[in-house]
Amino acid sequence: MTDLSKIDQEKAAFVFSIFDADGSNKIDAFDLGNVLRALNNNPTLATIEKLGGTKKRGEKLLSFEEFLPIYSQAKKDKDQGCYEDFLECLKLYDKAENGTMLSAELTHSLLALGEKLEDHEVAEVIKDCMDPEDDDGFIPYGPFLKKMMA
Amino acid sequence: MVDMDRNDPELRYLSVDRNSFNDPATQAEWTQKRLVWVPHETQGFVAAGIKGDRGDEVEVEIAESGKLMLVQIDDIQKMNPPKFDKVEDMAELTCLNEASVLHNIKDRYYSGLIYTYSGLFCVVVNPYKKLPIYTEKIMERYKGIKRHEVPPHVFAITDTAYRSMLQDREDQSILCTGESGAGKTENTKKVIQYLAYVAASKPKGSAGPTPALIIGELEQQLLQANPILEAFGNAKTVKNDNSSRFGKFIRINFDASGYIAGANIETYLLEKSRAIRQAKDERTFHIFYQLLAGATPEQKAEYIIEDAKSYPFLSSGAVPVPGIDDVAEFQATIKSMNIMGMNIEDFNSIFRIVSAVLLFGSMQFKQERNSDQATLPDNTVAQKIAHLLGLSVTEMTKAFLKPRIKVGRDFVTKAQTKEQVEFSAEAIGKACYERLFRWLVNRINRSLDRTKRQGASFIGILDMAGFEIFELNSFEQLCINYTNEKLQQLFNHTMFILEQEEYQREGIEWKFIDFGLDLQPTIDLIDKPMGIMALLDEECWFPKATDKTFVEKLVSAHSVHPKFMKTDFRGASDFAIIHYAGKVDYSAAQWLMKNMDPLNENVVSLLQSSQDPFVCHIWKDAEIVGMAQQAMTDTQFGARTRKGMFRTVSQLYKEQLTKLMATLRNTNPNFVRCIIPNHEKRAGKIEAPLVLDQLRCNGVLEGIRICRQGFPNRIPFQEFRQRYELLTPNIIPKGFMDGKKACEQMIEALELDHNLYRVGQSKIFFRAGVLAHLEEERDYKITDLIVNFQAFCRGYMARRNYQKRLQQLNAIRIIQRNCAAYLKLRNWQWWRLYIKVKPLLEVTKQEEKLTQKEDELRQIRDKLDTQMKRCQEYEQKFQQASAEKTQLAEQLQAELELCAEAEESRARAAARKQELEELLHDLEGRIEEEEERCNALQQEKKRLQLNIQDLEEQLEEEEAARQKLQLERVQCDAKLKKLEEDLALSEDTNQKLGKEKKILEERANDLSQALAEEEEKAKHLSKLKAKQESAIAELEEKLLKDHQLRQEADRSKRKLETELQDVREQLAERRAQLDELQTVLTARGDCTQEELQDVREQLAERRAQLDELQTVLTKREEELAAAVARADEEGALRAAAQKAAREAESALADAHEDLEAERAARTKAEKLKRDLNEELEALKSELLDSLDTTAAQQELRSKREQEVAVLKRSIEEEAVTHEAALTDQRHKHSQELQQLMEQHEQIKKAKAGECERDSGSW
Repeated sequence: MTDLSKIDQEKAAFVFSIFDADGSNKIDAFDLGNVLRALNNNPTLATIEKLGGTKKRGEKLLSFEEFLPIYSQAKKDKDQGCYEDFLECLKLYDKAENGTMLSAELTHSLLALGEKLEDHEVAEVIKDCMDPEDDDGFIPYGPFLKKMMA
Repeated sequence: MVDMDRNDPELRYLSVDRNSFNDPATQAEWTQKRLVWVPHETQGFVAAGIKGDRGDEVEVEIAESGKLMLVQIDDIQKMNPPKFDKVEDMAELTCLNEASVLHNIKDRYYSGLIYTYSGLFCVVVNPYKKLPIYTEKIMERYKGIKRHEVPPHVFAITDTAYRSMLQDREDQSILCTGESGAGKTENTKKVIQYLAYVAASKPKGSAGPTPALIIGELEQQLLQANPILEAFGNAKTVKNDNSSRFGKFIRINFDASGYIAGANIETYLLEKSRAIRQAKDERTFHIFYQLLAGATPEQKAEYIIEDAKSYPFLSSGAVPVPGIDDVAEFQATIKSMNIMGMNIEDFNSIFRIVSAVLLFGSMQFKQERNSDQATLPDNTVAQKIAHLLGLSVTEMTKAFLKPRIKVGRDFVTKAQTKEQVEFSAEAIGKACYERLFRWLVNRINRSLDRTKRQGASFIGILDMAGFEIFELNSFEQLCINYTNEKLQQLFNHTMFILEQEEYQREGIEWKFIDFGLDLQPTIDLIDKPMGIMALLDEECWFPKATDKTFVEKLVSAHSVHPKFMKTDFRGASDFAIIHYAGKVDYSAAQWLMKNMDPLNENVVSLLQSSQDPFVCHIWKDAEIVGMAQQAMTDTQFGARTRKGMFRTVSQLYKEQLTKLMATLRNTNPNFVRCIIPNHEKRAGKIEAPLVLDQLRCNGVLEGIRICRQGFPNRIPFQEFRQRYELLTPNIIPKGFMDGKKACEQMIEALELDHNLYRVGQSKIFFRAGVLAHLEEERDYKITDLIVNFQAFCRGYMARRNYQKRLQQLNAIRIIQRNCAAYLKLRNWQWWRLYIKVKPLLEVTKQEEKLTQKEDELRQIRDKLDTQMKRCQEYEQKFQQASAEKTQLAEQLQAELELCAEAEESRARAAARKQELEELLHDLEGRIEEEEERCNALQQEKKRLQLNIQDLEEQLEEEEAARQKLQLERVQCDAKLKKLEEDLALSEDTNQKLGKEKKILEERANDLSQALAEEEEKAKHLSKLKAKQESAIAELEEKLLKDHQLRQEADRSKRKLETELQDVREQLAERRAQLDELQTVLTARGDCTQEELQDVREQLAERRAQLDELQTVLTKREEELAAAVARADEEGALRAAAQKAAREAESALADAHEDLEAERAARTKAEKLKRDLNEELEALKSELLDSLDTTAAQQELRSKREQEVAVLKRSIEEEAVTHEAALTDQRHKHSQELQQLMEQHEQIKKAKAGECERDSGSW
């Protein structure tokens, strides 16, 4: 059926079951992204949409059989960047080239660019992963990335 | 993404759907008809299709009218393909020419698109209507967005400036330039609005995006500064209903994180003359009308406001402007001033002065009939003014009418004519207003610049009056045009010259393009030494200079300058300058006055000591050209003493401008070119020639061209690498690498066309658009990364949530298991039994519990006992304590009472304290203020002291110089007087000498005549002399002859004498003989006969002897006759003697016979002898006489000769003396002449020297 390993399939089945709230062996397509993420993938919103995720609840249901190939595809999608890529990206904001950047700038880029995050989401990530900023509002971005990508 | 933005409904007023331009149909038409632009008189250029070539000419068909016409091939300009219609950046145009640029601007303007990029700067056409393109939503859209991503807008320019300020830490300036009414001020306001929005300082800590609505106080004030300045500094002109009558440079300081930290406004060249006089259809500054219309009755009473028509200073009374409600504007102004932190006192002071300025024009002066003194018959107005300004009426009128002027060391009261008084009243009015304006600006600056600390960097926004070309232009226009010339020069400099210089510096092969826009000659003409401004200043110092002499000087100094033109005499203008925008005719009338800007210093000093502190304040630093100094220009030394004491308007302005230029040069300029579409203030109308003119003047085309040809974007290697390394991952090896090499590798990896970039020494250059493309790619890449990054964030959160959920799920599972178990057991009997029994199971354990409890009880009892004991103890203690307590209570009561009292007093004290604290607070505030002020003052004082010291030194120097000068002057005066006397004297002598000379000449003439005469005379005399001499010679000869004769006569005489002697002797002998004879005769008497014989013999002898004698005598006579021709008498005498001898012979013969006869003969002989003697005597006397006469003659002659000699000598002497005198006189004359000439020369030199000194000291 798929080229997924047995273990992967079992894991997938487990996570799937977690999101299968009513035990109907189906998940809401809205949850697709989260299921994939729970399976240690980091799909972009665009990818999720492409893979069949919906933006609203109750529009579509996915069965485990339908889910498996999607998972397989998402897993194969290696173009999701790595620590070094992000480090390079954040370096652009590192005016002093000392491994720090303005925390405001980081939040701003997360909030305003690309697939914008919500305020509360950013707040949550920052709360969890970010070291406290210094007096000038700078944070070391490397540890932040490490924590977040751990 | 970009396309999506373009369709944003927010931007629908800023962009058009440009898809239609790609319509193949129009494209086809363009190719088929071969459309081009041909020149047109009123529309600039019109579209036309080429029908056919005819050598140099082309036959075209005008697209609109279908008219066929021939056009020179050079006049045709290519048309861009239709897909470029309404293009946003004109640098993108394929065919770049005037026609296309004009067409594009026009096209866009008709579609309501007023902003267009033109290479590096932005062109904006005044829409003359309100467009909904300045809302907050739009500002939000432009925030942090690249220029090319959004439609053109002044916001985009501002944002670019803001971003590059933050990114490069370089100061920025935004220069809005253009003609009056082109929209500079409006755009400036938009710039400020945008900056206030984008860079509003946020409260620290809130990292999230602030909702845009919260704009801090500072930003509010920054925005509100404009309405105030506009109210006081703007007016309606023919061209513009809200024309800024001053220039301003607003400097907004930002702190390190990019928030506004403060601002500062500098103003230039307020057109203060507008306060007293306005042209037809123009108004004075808005505030006057606002105050007149908007003041409440109480305010009107307080500020003594009258009806608009009653003010002469409002030339055309109250002129309503459509669209401006003065009352509402007044309220708005008040509101703005409130926001600025001005209080009611400030308002009072300001409006009092505004009212007073108006009233200055209402004073009616009259001329006294028989003197130059002006009078003020009705001083009600003066009273009002004096009241408003806190002055004394009498002092003020006196100061106006009879100012005391310092002349030398004394004060003199000077009579003022009506014109002079009116002039000084107007001047004071103007100055009051100007000073009020300046105070306002300072006040605003104080509000805006609270932070005190210098911001990290700033953005300067310049809003300067545009080029002004009227029919007749004056000093103000020169200043404005000069400024514009400078700004344009800056523009050219940054756009063209610096650009090209940078290419050269970076070693890029580049052909230097001369854009022919160097404005230096014109600027030099105006501001260099000996330039127009310098000459004007010089002329101001010059005594008795007039506007006319100024023009003459100008013409003589610059008549060959290529940018200077003499206008012909018929025109009203005096000269013309060729500015970059065209030739401008200037009239020099009033320039000296305008440049000196003299004020009545009596009034000024009154104002400085006014009772109104505000009036004092605005006047306190007055540095004025007093009228006294003006009067002092009458004296030659007046000019010297004034140097350093004040500066002329042009000097001040030049200084200000130089400072501004220095500031601007240190910034990165961003240009906003404002264009006025028509002069009728009508929306949607474009006068093509007008716009074309402005495009040409502004260098828009050249700007686009260099933008296209050049490499407008450049980045240092380091930055390029840092910024774009992202695009070429893994190209540059880890570790160190030379910046240039790295960049080259990166460029290689990016596969850029070589024509699109150049690698310089330290920077890499790109053609327009390339960098934008790179930037776009970089953005894309970054966005990609960010998206992934965000995906990771989401993943992170999702996993966290998943973990949570997992835990929740596990918990639920356990609960579920329990529930399920319960459900299974529920109906099992034993379980039910167990449930039932479970509560009963407790009973079996009661016994045990009891014993347990008892034990517990015992224990507790023990405890209780001890507790009781303790309790009793405590009771006792309590009693004691309570006793103590009552005691204490009493005490307390007392204390309470005391306390109450104390409380009361405390309350009082507290109240007092509060009061005091308030007071203290106030005082502290005041102290702080005072301290600040004190500090400021101290600094001021220090500065002033320094200044004073300087000034004192200067003064001392000046004084010394003055004294020296005075001394010199006195000396000079004395010298001058002496010289003058000398001159007079020499003139006198000159005259005299002239006269003398004339006389001398006459005399010389006379003398020469006389001389001639004399000479003639001399000649005559010499002739005479010759004659005389000849006569003398003759005479001499004669004399000689005479002499000889005489000598001969002498000799003969002597002979005769001797003979006579002889004769006498003989006679005597004979007498003796006769006597003897007689005696003999007598004696012999008788014997005579005998003897007679003897006697006869004797006689005979005697006769012989006589004969002998006779022969001798005859001989002698002959001799005599031969010797003395003229001595006839001698001859006669001789003859007589002969006769006598003969008679004697006869007598003797008789005596021979007769004695008596003898006697007779003897007597006769005696007689004869006597006669002879007598005759001899006579001869002798005659001879003597003749001798005498000759001597006399000789004497006479010698006398004559002497006389002649004397005469000659005297003549000669006279001639010599005359000649000597003449030469002397001539010499003297010439010497005197020479002296005079020398004196004249000296005087000339002295004068020239003075002139030179005069001129040399400026």
